Amino acid sequence: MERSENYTDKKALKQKGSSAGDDSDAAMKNIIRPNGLSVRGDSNVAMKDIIRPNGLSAGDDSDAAMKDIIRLNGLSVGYEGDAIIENIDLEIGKGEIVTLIGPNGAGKSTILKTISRQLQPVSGAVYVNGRELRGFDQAELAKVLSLLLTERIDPEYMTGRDIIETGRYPYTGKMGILSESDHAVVDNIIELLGIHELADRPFRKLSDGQKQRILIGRALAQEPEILILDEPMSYLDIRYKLELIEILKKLRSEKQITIVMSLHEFELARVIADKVICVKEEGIGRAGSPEEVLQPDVLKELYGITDEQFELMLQSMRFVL
Amino acid sequence: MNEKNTIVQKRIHRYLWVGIFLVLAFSAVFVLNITTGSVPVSVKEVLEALTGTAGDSNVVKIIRIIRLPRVIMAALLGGALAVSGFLLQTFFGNPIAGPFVLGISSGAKFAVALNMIFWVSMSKSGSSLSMILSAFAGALLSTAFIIFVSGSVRHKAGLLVAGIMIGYICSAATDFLLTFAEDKDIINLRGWSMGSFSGMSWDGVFVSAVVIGITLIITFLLSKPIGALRLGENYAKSMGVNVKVFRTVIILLSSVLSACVTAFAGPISFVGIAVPFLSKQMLKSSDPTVLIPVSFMCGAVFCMLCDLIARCTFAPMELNISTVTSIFGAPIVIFMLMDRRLDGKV
Repeated sequence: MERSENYTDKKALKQKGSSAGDDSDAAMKNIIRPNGLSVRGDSNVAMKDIIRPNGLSAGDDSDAAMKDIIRLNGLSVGYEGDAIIENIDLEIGKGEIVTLIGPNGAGKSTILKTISRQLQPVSGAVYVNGRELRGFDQAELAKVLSLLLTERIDPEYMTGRDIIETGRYPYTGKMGILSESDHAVVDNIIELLGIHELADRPFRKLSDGQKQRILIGRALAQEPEILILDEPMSYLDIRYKLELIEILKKLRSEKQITIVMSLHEFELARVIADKVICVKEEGIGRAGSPEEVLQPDVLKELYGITDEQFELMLQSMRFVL
Repeated sequence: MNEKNTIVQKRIHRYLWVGIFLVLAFSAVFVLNITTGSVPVSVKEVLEALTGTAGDSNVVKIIRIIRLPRVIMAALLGGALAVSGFLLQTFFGNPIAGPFVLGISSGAKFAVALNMIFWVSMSKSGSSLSMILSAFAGALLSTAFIIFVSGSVRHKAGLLVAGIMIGYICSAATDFLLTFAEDKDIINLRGWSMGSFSGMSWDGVFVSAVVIGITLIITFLLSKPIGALRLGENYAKSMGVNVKVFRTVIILLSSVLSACVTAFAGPISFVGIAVPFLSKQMLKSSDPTVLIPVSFMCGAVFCMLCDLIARCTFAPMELNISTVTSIFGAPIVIFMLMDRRLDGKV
């Protein structure tokens, strides 16, 4: 089964004329596929260039269902019944790192909020571990999926450690008292992120970047299978951005954590993502491996930048490096 | 690791000291309240009166029937107000959200006005029971409306606005009623709306002890989700709190507490805002497991002290309780705003 998966994927990639077909990364296996595209056909023209129609064979499908930790089925996301992005079909395998890129306001956060059940889908459904998201109990979901939001929080008299400890919420008892093992988890995370000096300072007195690192620690303390990060790189300076990339890769390889995040820094997407998805106002655009998606033409179109602007960007990068 | 332990230890020490201080302050103010008054009583006499071995029946009566229920009521209701305020502040993430911000006092006032003008003037037997019941009913009615609205309000700020609007509507309705009221009713209503602990009965003490006791226990048991709310509703949700249900629960708990206060003593201003702030300052913590009991104790001490001042400063004239709580509470609130401004963050 494993093989035929791989084979069909490679074939699919070749159809697209991509050179990424020989990418050995196993995580590549589950590239976006519009579900039942061949049946629904023209309803989704924009999606056509995305890899392969679902249901090549019954076996293939059930196998995929086993492995996909997140599956979006004809999902439309938005607020109060008004869809911003319609009809997303996406499958994310366990241990994959998926990044959403796109202009401001395109709906990256909205997609992430819907996947994490902060928002109800306008239509369609999200499946986590093969179960519909709606069916999860809130507390149960908290053990599977944790979140980093872009919203600012302003808790009084809490240290960085206090904030990280709230990540243990789903595991503690009725009164929320942390056990020895809970403390050990928190200590490990502080170690992993190298935030000793921040942990015992009042959260409100930290800088934005420091707060961001604490909140990333909080999300990790929930020990999720799926980590949803909304712009995790914001406020971080380049060193911490690179550190975070290393940490996320480590989490993926050591704990098989699946990571879905939005990024403004598409140059970073290249080094971290298994899959890059373009989100633009009309909906989901291109999706695939970073090599495939992160092309000048795609980026220019996605962000609506002119050739001159793009040239300027390249120049600025060249000057720095 | 070591550093962490010292911080934990420091915290525990602080909690202990605050606890000891509050117990001492509580005892001192409690005794002071019973001994001080138009008839001064010695501590020995108080003990004798309570154990039933006293001689002078007049002093015994003053202590047993007047001062003791009054001071217990001041403690209970003051504590309840503080916890009620703490709940709403945590819920709204705003230190200025007091227990009456959701229009509870205005609802109660309207019901009391209705009661005074129609029922009492008709029957000529203005029982305090009917006042208590109408105030409680009015308070719960505005709460019911808020809960009804909360289902369809996306943001908490919307709830705040709804509460303020309810306040306006009820005030307008009350003003409308007062157009047809007699002068004595207007004066009575004004007196009621400033609050007072005078004339408390043992029945009242028992009823409010039961209502407040049960509500406090439930509140304390919900410390964990209340604590999660400190990070905002969205994070709380991601940790596993059923935010929709929990919203209603918090509003309900906070409202029952403040409704109980309003029913027995009228709306009392500033306790619900100033006391939780003071408690947080003392504890340097926002952890509900310590803040709920400490706010309660602190509110009790604060209200007993204010009632003592209300009774004794211009005796035999008695001040309204809100007059005193405002004089002490409002500067605390101003200080707290300046403090936030100056310090920037914590």
